[in-house]
Order: sequence, then structure tokens, then C-alpha cells
Amino acid sequence: MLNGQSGPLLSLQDFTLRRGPHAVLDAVTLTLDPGRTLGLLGESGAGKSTLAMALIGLLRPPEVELFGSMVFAGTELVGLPEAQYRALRGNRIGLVFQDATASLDPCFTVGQQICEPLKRHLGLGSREAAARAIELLTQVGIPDARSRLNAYPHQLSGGMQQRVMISIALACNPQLLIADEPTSALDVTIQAQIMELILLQVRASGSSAIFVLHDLALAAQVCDDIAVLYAGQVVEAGPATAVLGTPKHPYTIGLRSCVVELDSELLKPLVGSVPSLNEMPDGCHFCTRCPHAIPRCFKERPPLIAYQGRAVACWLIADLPTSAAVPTPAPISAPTPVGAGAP
Amino acid sequence: MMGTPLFTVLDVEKTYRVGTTPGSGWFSAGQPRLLKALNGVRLEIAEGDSIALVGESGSGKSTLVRLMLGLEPATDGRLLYRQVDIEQFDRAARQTFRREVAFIYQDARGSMNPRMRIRAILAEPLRLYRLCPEPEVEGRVLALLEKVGLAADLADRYPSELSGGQVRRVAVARALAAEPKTIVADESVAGLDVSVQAQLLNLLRGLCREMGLTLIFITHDLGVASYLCTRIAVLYLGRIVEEGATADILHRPMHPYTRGLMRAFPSFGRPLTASLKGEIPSPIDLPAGCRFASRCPQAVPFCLTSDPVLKHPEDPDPNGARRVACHFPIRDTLDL
Repeated sequence: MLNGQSGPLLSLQDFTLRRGPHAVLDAVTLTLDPGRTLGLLGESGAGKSTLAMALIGLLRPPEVELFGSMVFAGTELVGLPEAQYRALRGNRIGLVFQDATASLDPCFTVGQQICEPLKRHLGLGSREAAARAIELLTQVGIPDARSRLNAYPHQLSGGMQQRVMISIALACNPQLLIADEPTSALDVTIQAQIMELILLQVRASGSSAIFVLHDLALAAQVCDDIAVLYAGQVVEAGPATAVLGTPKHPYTIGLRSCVVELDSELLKPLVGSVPSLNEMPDGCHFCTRCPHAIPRCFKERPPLIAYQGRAVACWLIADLPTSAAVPTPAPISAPTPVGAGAP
Repeated sequence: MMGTPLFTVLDVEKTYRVGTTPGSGWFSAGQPRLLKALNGVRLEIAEGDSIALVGESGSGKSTLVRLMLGLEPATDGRLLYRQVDIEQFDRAARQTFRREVAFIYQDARGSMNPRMRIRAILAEPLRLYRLCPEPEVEGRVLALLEKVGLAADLADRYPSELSGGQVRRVAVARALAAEPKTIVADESVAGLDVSVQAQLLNLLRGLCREMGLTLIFITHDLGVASYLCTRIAVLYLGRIVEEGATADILHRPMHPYTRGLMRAFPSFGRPLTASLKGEIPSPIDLPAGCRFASRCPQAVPFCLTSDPVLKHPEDPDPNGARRVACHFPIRDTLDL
């Protein structure tokens, strides 16, 4: 938008984040094209939220060490000075956190909090900012927006607070919206409303979005692209229809079969849990829980290679011509947005 | 729902006082503001049943369960356990009730004494109810851990040293320690990773089938409800709006609210649908007619004035156990 280039809006190349001796994010490679929505999936400890925090510069040296590169709209974010980050944050990158109650400042009215980025980044005066704030609140479906400007966050319900967060995030028409579990504290009916709202706003403005999610079915509904993370590594990434419709990495297959649907027969859950950072195996991080692990998996890390319309990091697929294929789940049926039989 | 009822909930109401309305002058106090958490709930649960109480936050699921456990008195109506009013229990009956009905709290970690090791937490009910001679306690504790799929060496840890999934398993083990007939679980799988949630769901389902337990499960997740329970009761603003066998509810939900919940449930192969507009209204100022009318896509003026009762729809299901509180129950099957 600003620089008029046609390449990806965001591109991570071997991005590594180390905290002390441990790599919390291990050589993450990702791209996000303008106008697309990307879902980061994985269990707790996968590094999804860490990645989101690093992207917006809230996790930075000296607290952590960053390696590799992270380019947003032509700007290298690794090593970007705080002053320049501030010009991006809340302006060209909008943020929605999981816990709206904790993220909104209890001492300021909703109006003051929406006007802050408008005044700071866009240089609007108080009156213009207030007018724009009313517009924004109306856009996110808050009835009687004018009187709500003077409300304090505690006077609003959880769903309404999340709507306010979204209006703050969208205030400056960001090119990228990052939403970290925006609806996990809300009821399903409100979740559907909020996700629909975010999608509508993102699509209308032509911006991109990154969703950190733990609900695979929801991810299938709202994301164009998916990156599945396991213990800091991207194990499978590509279009949502491919990654969630016909998962190829044993971890994605395992996660997919853990999802309870309305007609689930018997779940076959993944066994075990993510190893702690100081017990992490050298090779593929998933090898300790993988039902198909071979000796090589414990020693060498598999590269992320293109395979059937997505990228997969698995030795069984890298070696496919010579070794047995990974079992495939039920084939895709319906095309929109992701169709697959019950696992 | 055949067989003798284990729990009978008879037109139970629960009202909380939440402050007062402003008075008209210096010396006239305001009226108390009343929050109706439950408003005429009628429910029967037979021995061996598994029933899910489903609804959004503020629907009264947790309040209903707290009343059924005798943790709070009902404002009106009666709650019977094995045909005896739980408020009339004598000492012995109350102890039997406590032993037979185990509660798994929503906040599993918060429900454990942080200064007790897992071993002590699991041994406590065994000693309290004198379920086995002292030398056997240790063996029982280890057997309980094994039953919920935890390693024996966790017995020496403190709750704070366990992961979220492990703590929930310990909570299940503690509930089983008292050899209960019924397990009541409040959102026991919410907020967990899908992998851990699936493990826990399989554990609960296996235990209930294998030990013939009655299960009362509070959840906001219809998928979880249908996976664990043979019956579902959908609550909205302190009332049951629809109740019946899981398969019937899923294939032919008759109440527009149940349909809305099902459409909002995220699913592969279906686009995102914000099926229900608005939010659950405040239980302080309840609407006069049907509670759901303000969000109902098919409400007519009649719904705003007349409150529907929970009753069998005119052409009952072949299984005959369906109840709906709607003036215009939907007859066709749900096409998701």
C-alpha cells in the first residue's frame, strides 16, 4: 500500500528467537501476501504468541536474541529501533489481544483510548478524532456509539470490550492486523459475531491479518493460509484448504483428529505433550510423539519442502520416493472453505 | 429418561440480590434489585444418565449445579436426590450424598490445596470416608493415578508443578477416590489444547461407561456435550429452553436458540456464520414474554408478550423425551 511493491507484505526468513540458551522460535520461514489472512496453529508452547509478540516488537533485545530476518512492507524489523517501531505499532500494524478486559486501560474511557492512536499517528484534532471514534464504534457494531465514548471498559460486556479493542486496532487502517486468540474468552455465538466483524473489516480495507488460534475448525473458517507450529518450528504451512483439508505432517494429522465435532465418533488424540525447552530433541522436535518417527528424525532436522500444494517439514515426506508415505485422512469433499470428512 | 430419577429438580428458582435501586428521597430506601439466575427449572436425571447442560455465560448452568449439589439453597422450588429433599437431609444422609456425588470444579488448580502433595490430595477422601484401611491408602492412590493415566511419580509433586492437563486429571482422580455414583463436572475441558482436551474427553467417557457413572456435565461447547452425553439440556437466561436425547437435539433442534448455537459452532466444511445477533440480556430486567424473543430470528409480536412453557412438542419424537419452550417449535431437520 505505502511502498507500492507487489511482493509479500510480511516475510520471515529463518527467524529465530532465543531466550537464554533455548530457541523459542527456531528458524521460522513464512510469507504473508497482501489481502490474505494467516492462521498460526499449534498447542500451547508452540511459539504462536511469541511470534506475534516478536512481530510487533514487544519481545526484543536484550530480553531475547533475534536472528534471521523479518521484513514488513520493505522494512527489516529485526534490529529496528524502538522509535521506528512505535510509528508502526497501532498505525500500520494493529493489534487485538486475547484478554480485552486486561488490555484496555481501566482508568480511561473508551473514547480516549480510541482517539489516542488517531491523534498520535494520524495527527487528528480532538473533535475530528472523536467523530472518527464514533464512526469506528458504529462500524464494529456498538449501538449508541456516541454515548459509549464516555463509558469505561468495566461498563461493557466481554464481547463489547473486544469490539472496542478491534476498533482501536483498526483505527489507523493498518496494513496488517494481528489478533492473538481474539475470541477464546467469548461464547461461540459472540465468537462468530466478532470473527465475522474482523473478517469484514479486514476484507473491506484490503489489509492482511494474522490470527493466533487454537481452534482448528475456526481457523478453517477464517484463514486463507495456515502455518502449523510445533515447539518453535513450522511443520506445515500453506493454503487452509490443503493444510486442514488434507494434512500431511503427522502433527497436523494428529491435531486434526483431536477436534471434537458435532458428530465425532471416537477421538484418537495425540499422545503425550510438548517437551520442555531443555529436553527438546536435536532433530525434528515432534519426533518424541510421532507415530512414524524413524532414527533419522531424532538426529537431523527435516527441511521445509514443497509437497502437494503446501510446505511440509517431515523426513517421511522428504524421503518419499524411497520410504512409506504418511497415512492420508479422509479426502476433501466440499470446497468452501475447507471440507473433510470427520476424522 | 426411564428408571427411577436420581435427581429431581422441581420448578427451582434462584434469585440474588444485587444492590438496590436509587431511593426517591433522603429517607426512603430503594427497592432491592433482583437478579433471577434460575427461573423455574424442571429436570429429571435418572441413574446412569449422562446429561450436558449447555448455554452461553449467564444462562444459569453453574447456578443450577451449585443448587443441585446443595452448595446454595434455592429461593423457591425443591431439589430431590433419590426422592429426598436435599435441604431435609440429616447428617448421615448428607455425608452419603457428598460421597456419592463428586464435583469437579471449573478451576481445577484452584480447587486443590497448593500446600498438599498430589498423594495427600488423593488420600484425603479415602481417609475421610474410611474407604480402606490405612495400609492400603498408598496403593489406592497409585491405582487412582494409573486410572486417569498419570505416572506414579507425580504423587510427590505439588499442584503448581503440574501442567493444566495433568491438574485436570488429578481433579478427576480425586473425584473418583470417593467411589461416587455421580460425577458433576463444570467446564472440565474448557481452555485446554485440543490434544489435551481430546485425551481428557476420552478418559471421562471411558470412565463413565466402564464404571456406570451418572454424569452431569456443564459445557458451552456443543461438540463436547454430544461427545460425552446421551442427553442435552440447553439453558437460556435461567430456563431450560430445550431438552432431549443428544441425537435428536443435533439432528432436529426445535428451538431457534439451539439452532443458533449449532450454526455458530465452528466446523470444517461450513462457512463462518454469526447466526445469533446481539448478546444474552441482563438477568436483572427480564423481558416479559419469551426470554429469547429479543434475539430470535422468527419472533412475532405474540412472543414479546407471552412466555412459552417447557413442554413436549405436539408430535413427540419417537423416543418421547423431547421438551421445548417455544411457541413455534421448528419441525424440519437442521441442514448445517
